[in-house]
Amino acid sequence: MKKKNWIRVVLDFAANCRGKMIVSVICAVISVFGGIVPYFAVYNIIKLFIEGDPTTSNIVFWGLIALAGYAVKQLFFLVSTMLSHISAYTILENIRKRMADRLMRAPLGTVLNDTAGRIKNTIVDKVEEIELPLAHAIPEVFSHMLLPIAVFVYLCLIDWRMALVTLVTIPVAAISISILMRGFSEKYNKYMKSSDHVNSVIVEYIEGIEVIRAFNQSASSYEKFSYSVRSFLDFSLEWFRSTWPVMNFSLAVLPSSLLGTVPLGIHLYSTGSLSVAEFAISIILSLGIVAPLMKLQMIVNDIKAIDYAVMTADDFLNLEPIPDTDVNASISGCGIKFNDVSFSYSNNLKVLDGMNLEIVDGSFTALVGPSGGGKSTVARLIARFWDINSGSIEIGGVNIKDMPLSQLMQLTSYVTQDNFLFDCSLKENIRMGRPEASDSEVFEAAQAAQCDDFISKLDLGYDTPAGEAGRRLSGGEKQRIAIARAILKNAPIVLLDEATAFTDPENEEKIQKSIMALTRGKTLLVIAHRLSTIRNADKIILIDNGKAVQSGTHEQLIEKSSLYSSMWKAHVNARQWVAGSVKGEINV
Amino acid sequence: MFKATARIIKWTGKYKKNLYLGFVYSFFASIATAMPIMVAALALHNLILDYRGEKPLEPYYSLKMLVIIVAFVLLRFLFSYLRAINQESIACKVGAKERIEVGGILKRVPLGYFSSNHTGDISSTITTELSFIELLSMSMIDNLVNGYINVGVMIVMLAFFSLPIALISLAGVLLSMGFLEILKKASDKTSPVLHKAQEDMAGSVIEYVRGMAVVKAFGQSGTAMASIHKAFNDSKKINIGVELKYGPVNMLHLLVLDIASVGIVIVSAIFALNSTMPLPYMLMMLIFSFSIFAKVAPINNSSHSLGRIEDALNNLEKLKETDFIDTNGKDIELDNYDISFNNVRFAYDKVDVIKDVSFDIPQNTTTAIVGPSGCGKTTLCSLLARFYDIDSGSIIVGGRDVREFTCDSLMNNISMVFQNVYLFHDTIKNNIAFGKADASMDEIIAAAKQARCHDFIMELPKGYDTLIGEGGSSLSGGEKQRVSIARAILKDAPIIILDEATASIDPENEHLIQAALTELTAGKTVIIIAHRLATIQHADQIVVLEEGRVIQKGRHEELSSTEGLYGRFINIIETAGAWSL
Repeated sequence: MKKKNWIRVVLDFAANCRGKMIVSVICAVISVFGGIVPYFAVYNIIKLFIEGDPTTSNIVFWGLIALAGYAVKQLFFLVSTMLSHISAYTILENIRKRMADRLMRAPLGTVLNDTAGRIKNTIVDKVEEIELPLAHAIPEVFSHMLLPIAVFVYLCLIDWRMALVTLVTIPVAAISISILMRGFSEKYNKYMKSSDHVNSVIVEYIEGIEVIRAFNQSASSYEKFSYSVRSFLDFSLEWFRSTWPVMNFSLAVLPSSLLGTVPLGIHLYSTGSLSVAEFAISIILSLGIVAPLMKLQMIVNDIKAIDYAVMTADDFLNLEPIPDTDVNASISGCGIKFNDVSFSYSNNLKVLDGMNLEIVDGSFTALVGPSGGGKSTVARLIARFWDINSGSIEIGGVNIKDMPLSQLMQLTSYVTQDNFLFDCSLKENIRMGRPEASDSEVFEAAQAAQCDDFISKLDLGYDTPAGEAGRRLSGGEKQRIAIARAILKNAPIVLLDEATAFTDPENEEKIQKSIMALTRGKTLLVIAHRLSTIRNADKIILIDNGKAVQSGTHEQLIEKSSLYSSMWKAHVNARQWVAGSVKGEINV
Repeated sequence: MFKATARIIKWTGKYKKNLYLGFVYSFFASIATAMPIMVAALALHNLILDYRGEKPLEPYYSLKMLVIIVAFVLLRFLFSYLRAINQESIACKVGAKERIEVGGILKRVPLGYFSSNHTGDISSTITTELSFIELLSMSMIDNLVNGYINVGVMIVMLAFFSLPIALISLAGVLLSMGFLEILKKASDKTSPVLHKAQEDMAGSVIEYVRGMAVVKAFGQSGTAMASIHKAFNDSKKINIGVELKYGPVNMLHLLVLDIASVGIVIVSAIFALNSTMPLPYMLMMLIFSFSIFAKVAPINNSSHSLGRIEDALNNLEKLKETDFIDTNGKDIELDNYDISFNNVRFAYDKVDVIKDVSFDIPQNTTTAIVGPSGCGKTTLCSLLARFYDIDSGSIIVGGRDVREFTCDSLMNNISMVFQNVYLFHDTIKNNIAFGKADASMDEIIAAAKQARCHDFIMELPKGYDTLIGEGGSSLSGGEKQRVSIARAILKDAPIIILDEATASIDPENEHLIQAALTELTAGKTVIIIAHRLATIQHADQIVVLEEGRVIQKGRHEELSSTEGLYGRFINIIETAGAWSL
């Protein structure tokens, strides 16, 4: 993806605040010119004295003009800033909305690949960084460029040489700034990366604090922590040190416009080509352009900051949506078929490699095989979290790409290992399965999923907020809520990624009951992580290295597949394992 | 505002000297900045005298002026450079020190601290907020302190020329200070509101992302998008509301300074008219009216940031004030590893989790802890490692109460294998070496072999130097588990706390994991949260917990012949098996 200019990106999101931005710029320009008025007024007062006719009323008159100028300057500046902040926040809102929409429409896999924390960081924190510089840049870029130009033109009318000399510090400063800017982008990016790195190490340290303690590491002895802190410090210091001389030089020179105007003005006066009054106005005006010049330099930094933030946001803004159709397909039954399916998460490693399999309508099918063989991927691909690279996946004889995502979602219930509960009541969490379900239907589903017992033990029962309950609920209990949700949905196909973390045998028994309630009469595909649970499956498909290697019932596979029978043996072995084997041997 | 400044100065600790030195240089830099304006006023005055024929210009006057102004520009450069090298690196240095220090503190606080203070808040304090302090504190403090020093000096200087003018300037500065104070108060009030708005939005985004699979699976995308859009819109409204509140006060601060400038112009012109002020003074005043407040005006930006810095410093302080769990601990060497729990009680979040638990674990035996989920098994193990302190009773290891130890010396005796494996985003080698910081490569490989890791590690493209993804994402569950066991084997502590994984990743892996665990636990004192029948059957002692109490205790043969939870439990394990649909 080609990198877009940040201005284009920002303007793309400014559709509903363009008017405000324009008004903001106009107000900023008026404000800047209002700010010139006091210089003009003071010039006139000085002129009164030079030309020898000052009176109190004259002085007060010009004083009031100056005051009016200041008032215009500040009032319009206020309006301009307010509007630019409103615009900036509106742009932020639009950027965030677009990101959220893109995420929703992108293949789910893209989202699941990232951590929620990192996505939040981009949408919330990185985007927020755009606000302040943007709010400043909108009005100030124009107004502060316009002012030095206007002053220059005005001075040209007085004396072109004075006009030129006012700007004499600019090339000097520009040269030093360009030295400073050489490699600036690169270093700035490196600095930000280095800072992000330190922060991510710290977050990791906190998340892994149990391990840190269990293994007696500390911030200073944990090499990675202290190293990243130290190298970030070294990097920043070195970078700062290298910028200080030039930076401070240009900051000292740039605003010193008197450097040119005073000597040249005196010279021109003594050669008779400049009047005292003209000298006075030149001096005063050259003081007047100092502020905007300095601001312009700050804006350069602002723009850098916007650019960096927009760049990080860009990945999300350009997420490709997964192709979708509108017309519901008519399917015959709920059998699932994989024809020569190949798929890889990233470009190099094939997870599925020419996978062929068939799941008969209304049957109980299980996928087993060594981990990393692609079992879980099969379920994700049926739910279309990702699109496959080649081959086809059919449900009821129709390619899933030819049916709308909404139809596919109606057909399938996918119970994942991650049992996410939303921050609303447990009742509403179950109702997610079918929003139009009545309370009694929700309770029925909860009962069928063996949730009723533990939910009614909670003080607020079904109205307990999931966040609060979440801390008290065990993994098994959460999974039962997820199953209740799926029971309520009552889709004809159930994809079940068997949770690996069943907390205890009692829970396990309940989960089994709830799964039976969920899958009665459905087409069921189980991604199995323990062999005993799927012994009774109609068909067990053995997956290895991205291919369906063999299939059959448990008994058939024990007979004909050496891989399966060795897995079964290992499974039985493991169940018999002895801990703390001071007593030695492993029982088989 | 000044409180916040004092706060930052205190924070700089031993670099305070450099900070003050920076203020001094900054003061000279502002004088060097003001001087060319004086020079210009003087030049204008001389030109007027020459024009009126009162006193002709000196020869080479323009050249002389050039030299003088160049000299001041160079001085300004010199002093601002000196200020930079003294001040600007301070925040980074202190920041780096804080990171290490807080890292050390977090290791010694009760583990409950992390859940009750939301891990997110802790990490944002020492990441985002500390970065903010680092980036801005020095320039903000410089703006404020030097702004006022600068204007103060100017006012004192003006007082020598004209007292009324000095008073007008002082009035302007004081009034603007008043508005800034109002601004700061407003910002103190709104910053929690803004903070909460930000948190709410972050919460919504996380829920949006984490719930996306469910939302899509149940066809609720529209609802979810509508609600996240609302969250974004709310955040916008709150932020704009705050800006609208600040804006006018901010303008008043600037306008008051402008009015004072106009006052200086009018009053000095009238004085000159009445000849109470000489002409060159007046010219100087007029030109100065434009720059006298130049350093006070931008303080409004600082006042806002200073508020944020102050908040951040408060949070940091709070973090650092947390009580250590082992303040009075001693480094203790043990000669035996018998463990006993005596009438242990522990409440978490005011809920009693462990209620009067007593049992002994003789050295070199295996104790299995069983019971329904939520009965306190994991908590009991955490108490032994002193992740929390108990409320009453005692836990004795090798004859000494765990509260007598420092965390470090206690943990020297204990290895833990957790059910949720956490690996660091680092090489496999370093993840294993975590068990023993000074381990040699041979030791690491030996441990990896014992933990059945060596083979799969050698198959990876970079072997032991392969980088593991954050949280261990690039290895399979079983592989991660074995790496974590290798870590524990390398540590070779006499006491092993083992949270037996119920997760049977896949049968083959499971077999390897069990083999690795057998290596780890051989000849050690083992306390194990057990889920497997075989584990339980072969334990020297089984402790059955229910709702925080020991309800049964003994060997498998004894317990299975008596009525009770244990019998029911074993029954479920034995029958739990195939799903029939």
